[in-house]
Order: sequence, then structure tokens, then C-alpha cells
Amino acid sequence: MKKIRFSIVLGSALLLISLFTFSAMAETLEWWMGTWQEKAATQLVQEFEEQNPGIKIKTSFIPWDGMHGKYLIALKTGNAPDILSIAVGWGYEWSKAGFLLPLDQFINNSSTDFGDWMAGAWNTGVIEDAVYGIPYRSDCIALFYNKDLFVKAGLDPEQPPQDWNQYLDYAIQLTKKVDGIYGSGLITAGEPLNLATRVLPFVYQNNGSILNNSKTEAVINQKPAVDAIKWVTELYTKYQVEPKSNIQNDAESIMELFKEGKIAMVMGGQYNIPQVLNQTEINLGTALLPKNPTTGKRTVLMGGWNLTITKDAESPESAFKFIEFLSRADNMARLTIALPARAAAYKSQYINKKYETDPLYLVNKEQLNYGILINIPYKQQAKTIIAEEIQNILIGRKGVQKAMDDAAIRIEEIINR
Amino acid sequence: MKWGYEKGIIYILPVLLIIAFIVLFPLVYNIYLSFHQSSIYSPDLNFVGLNNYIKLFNDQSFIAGFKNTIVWTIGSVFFQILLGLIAALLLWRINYGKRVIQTIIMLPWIVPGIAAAASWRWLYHPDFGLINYIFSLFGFKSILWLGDPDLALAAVIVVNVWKMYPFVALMILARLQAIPKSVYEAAHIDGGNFWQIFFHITLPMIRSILSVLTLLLSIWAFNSFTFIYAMTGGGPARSSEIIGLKIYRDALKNMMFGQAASEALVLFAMMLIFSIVYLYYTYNWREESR
Repeated sequence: MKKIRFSIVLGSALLLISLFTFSAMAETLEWWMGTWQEKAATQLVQEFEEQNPGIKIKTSFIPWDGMHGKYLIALKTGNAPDILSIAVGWGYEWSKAGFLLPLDQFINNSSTDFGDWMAGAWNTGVIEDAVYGIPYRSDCIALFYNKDLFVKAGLDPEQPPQDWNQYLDYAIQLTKKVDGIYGSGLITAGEPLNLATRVLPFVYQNNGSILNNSKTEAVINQKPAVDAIKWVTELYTKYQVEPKSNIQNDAESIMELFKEGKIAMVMGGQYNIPQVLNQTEINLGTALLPKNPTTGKRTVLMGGWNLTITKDAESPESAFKFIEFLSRADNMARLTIALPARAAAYKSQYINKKYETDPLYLVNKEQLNYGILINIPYKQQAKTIIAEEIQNILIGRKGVQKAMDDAAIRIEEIINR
Repeated sequence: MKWGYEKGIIYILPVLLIIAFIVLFPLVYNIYLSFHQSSIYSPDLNFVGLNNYIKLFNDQSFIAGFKNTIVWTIGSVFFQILLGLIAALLLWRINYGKRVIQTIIMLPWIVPGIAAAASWRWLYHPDFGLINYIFSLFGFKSILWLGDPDLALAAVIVVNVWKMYPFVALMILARLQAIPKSVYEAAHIDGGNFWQIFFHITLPMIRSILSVLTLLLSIWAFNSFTFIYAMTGGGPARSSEIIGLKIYRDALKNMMFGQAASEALVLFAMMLIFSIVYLYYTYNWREESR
């Protein structure tokens, strides 16, 4: 009897030890990404774990609202996960702060053909000659317009506005205040960064900028930037072709107004197209952003998402292995709800074929050719300041020059801290 | 040596230590941070002495936020108490359908804050909102409730009052129900009218709960964040930004932990002074009226 009891105890002990040993052998990596691709990401993680039994992936899906702050706190306090999916605009500051690992060494030793990435997308992960992020999704905003409202206003629905002058002219013609219809929806409230993201393309189209080339001085109060901001804000203040409520409408509310046929022209991403088509009867048109009539530029801010490895990663090699897995053409096509970053992903069976054939979708792809990234220190703060000062213009508290002078002072205070 | 008081202290010491750690550690660390400057680009904290505090009082946005916090707190607490008191008196007096009315009155308190904020944003919408629609029936023009710098804070105060007055009503009602009926019967026999009874019997009887509520609601209003963040984001152009929101922005968006810590300490000091003065006066008042 004693022998049996001893055997049971010994057996149990061995089982427990082996279980502990096995779980210790299985490496666990943490991956944070957005909530919007939870289903695809979960499936991909499962497949990766099946193919790599030694590696477990613990995934957290973070909502967009508050994501930047959550990431930043985690990075700053050393509690970041191994792999982070980051918006392309965040890479510059975080790589300069030392939060992200350069990936060049892994890329050089990898069998993945990184030459297959589209140049515009690839460049979003390159910071001063080193690669910090592997892009998997690219997007940017383009012009959405309501063809039915164009017809009602006597405009040709197949001829969207080509430049700023035409845009203003069309917006005036489209605005029918008696019916509660407005021509333009560029101005937004809510998250200040959204307003800056919509206004800044016009600043850069007009050869303006936030900082000078050496990134030591604010130039947002110089003529090119001020003229561009004046043009945009006058749509609201002088010409009143924007709904008054845009001072309190966030980006989603503006898209709702567009879907309701209350605004004729708005800015939208590729991901908005299915929403508009599925939820409304609107005869949707998409076009490139109107260009600057003097410079001819159609500049837009580059959007998209990159996979990065943080400085807190315990096993960067395994983390890169996971990134390589996600970067396979089929997997990338499954992971993104916008344009994938590499050419081969467009040939995947999982890709939405409309990306290649439907003119509605092709516009956003073409607009990517005009995409730029603003790589400056304290970019989020600078954009917030610009948005706040634009609000001061909109509510009539400040003139354009005064508002931008104040913005320049505040931005310089931050960069020279 | 007698083991009475000392023994008790030993028993509760572990809990005291845990509470001290939970409360004191963040406070002390916050004080430490407020004398330092941090940057996203450096892991180091640089000692800057009183610089953060000096900057604070030269910072127009802090001064504006300070004023907004005072308006927000006084406006919210005053109307929460007033509306809560009226609701409690009504509930106390009515005999029929009391449960149903009580449930309806309590609804705003049950709704999660963020959901309430989202609903109110649409109610306030100039183009689609129910409120402007009702106003338009009487010939009023569309009002930018959340987009007008002169109205935005007041509009959010209304939501804060709507959300919290049921709690006030519930507390006051509980106290009202504990007042012996014989007191009112005696007052009626003596010929007291409604206002005399209210000011000389009801109000003194519920004074203690009103004191506690005022203090609690003030602290909550001072520290509040949700409604303003979700409805106006402090805008337009910071016209509805209160200190709580500014602390969040400076700490979690701008990574200026030192600056945010000094703002938090000023807020803490304000609240502490208010609490001490308030408690001192309400205590003295109670003592005098005995």
C-alpha cells in the first residue's frame, strides 16, 4: 500500500515538474494592437502558435481612443509589450526616445523579401537611415463627395474640384442653408489631432510647415502656413460653407452628416467607403484632394500602421519571427482593413479585389503617392496646439496671424524645454 | 500595563500600513515629481525646484482652467443639491405611484457616465438634437450648445446635475423618512405654514446630510473628468477645460509629469483648504445651534 501511495506522489510530482518545465520552455510574447482587426489577429496568432510550438502570443486589443497615451505610458515606464502595432506618425518620436529597437540586423538576416514593400509605405518605418517599423497597412484621406448633391447644384458629378479655388466655388454652389445642406466638411472638433490632420495637408501643399528644416524654430506663423490656414478657416468663418455645428462635430459626426446628405464634400479614408455604401443610398464619389492652385501640390499626411519591437522585448528574435509571419502576403492581406503595405499582398486571395479595380477605392491608393510624414519632435503637442489655435480663429477669439503667432510661441516653448 | 487601546492599535496596524502605503506613497511621489521636469526623450527626472509652480501661475490656460473648475464645481453642486432636495421632498410627500416615480428619478444615476455623455452630445447637436428641435418650435434659432465658448461649460454642468441629483435625492429622502412624524404634527397644531415648517423643522433636520453631500459633491466635481472629456474635450479652444482635464492632458498626452504633478498638488491643496474650512464652519454651526 505504501509503495502505491509513494508511486502516486512521485508520479504526480514528476507530472507537475514536467508541466512547469514545458510552460517555462514555451516563450510568451506580448502583442498590442487596435481593436478593429481583432478577429483576423486572433486567427493569425492561433496559426502562428501552431506553427511555432515554442512561442505563445498574448494579444491585447487596444481601442483607438486613448491608445497613444496608453502606449506612451507603457513605453516610458518600461512596461511595454514585445511587439507594438503603431500608427506611422508615432514612430519618429518613439525611436528618437529609444523606445523602439532598430530592425536592420533582423531584416538583413531575414529570408522575407522586404524589397516587395511599396516605397511610400516602407519609408514610414525608416527613421534617419534605420528601420524601426515594418509597415503592414497604408492609408490616407481623400475627398468624398455626394454626386446627387452635385447634380442638384448643377455641377458635373464626374468632375470633382481640382484645386482650392474650384473647391471653394463648388462649396458655395452646393451650400443650400434653407435645406440645411452645406458644401464642405473639413473642420472637426473632438480630438484636436483630427482637426490638425485635416488642416495640415493644406499647409504643406502651400509650402508651409510646422518647424523649419533644422527643427529648431516654429514656422507655422509664416506666410505659407498662415495663408493655408486662412483659406481653410474662412470656409467656416467667412464663406460659411461648413455647418456651424462643425465647431462641435467630431470626425464621426461629420461622416454621419455626409451620410445623411447634409454635407456635400468631406475627407474620408478608404475604410469609410464600405460604411457609406452599406449604410446609405448616397451616390458616392471619391477624388484626390484638391491641389494648391499656385504650387500644384496635392500633399496629404500619410497614415497607416507599422509593426515594431520595443526596447522592453525579452526576445527580439522571436518577436521578429512573429512580425515576419504577419508580413507574409496572405497574412498581411488578412490583417489590414485598408491598403496593404507590400505589393504581393494585392495578389492574395484574401484581399478585397475592389482595391485594384473599383475607382472609388483606387483614389485613396493614388493619393498615397502624395503622402508625407511629419517627423518632428513633440509632434503630438505641436498638432494639439495648432488645433487649439485654429479653434480660437473659428470662434472669433483671434485673427489667423495672431493665432498662429501664439501657436509658434507655444510650440517653441515645448521644443526648447 | 493594561492592554486595551494598544492592543487595538496592533490589530488594525496592518490595515493602517496598507492604507498609508496606498494613500501616502502616491502623495509623496507626486510632491517629489512636482519639483522635477520629465521629457519623453529622457528617462531622467531633472530637479527644477519651484519652476513648475512658477510656470503654473504664469500659464494662462491654468488660470482659465482654475476659473472653470470653480464655476463647474459651484454650478454643479448648487443645482445638484437644489434639484435633489426638491425631488426628495416630492418623493417624501407623494402617496401614489411612489415606487414608479422613484425609479424614474433614479434612472440618470444608473446610466454609465460615458453613455450619458454620448447621448447628451446628440441631444445638444445643433442640427439633429432634440433640444434645438424643441427650441425651434418656439421660433428660436439653432444654438451651438457645445460649440459656443460661452455656453459649453454650462451645457456640461446641466448634464452633471442631471446625472447626480438622484443620488442627492436618495440621501435626503433617507434622512427625511427618519424624522418623527410627531414633530410635524405639533407644528401643524401650532399653525405653522409650509415655509415655516420647511425652514424651522425640515431644513435643520436634514442639515447634517446636506453638509456631508456638499462636501462629497464638491470633491467629486473638483476631481471630475468624464463629462467634459467626452462632451467638449475642454473646447472649444479650452473654454470648458477644468484642471482635472488639464492634468490628464499634461501627464498622459504631453508626458509633462512634473508640470501635471504640480497642477495636481495645487488642486489637492485647494480641496484640502476648502474641506477644512467647510468642516470647521459646519461643525461650529452645529455646536452653536445645539
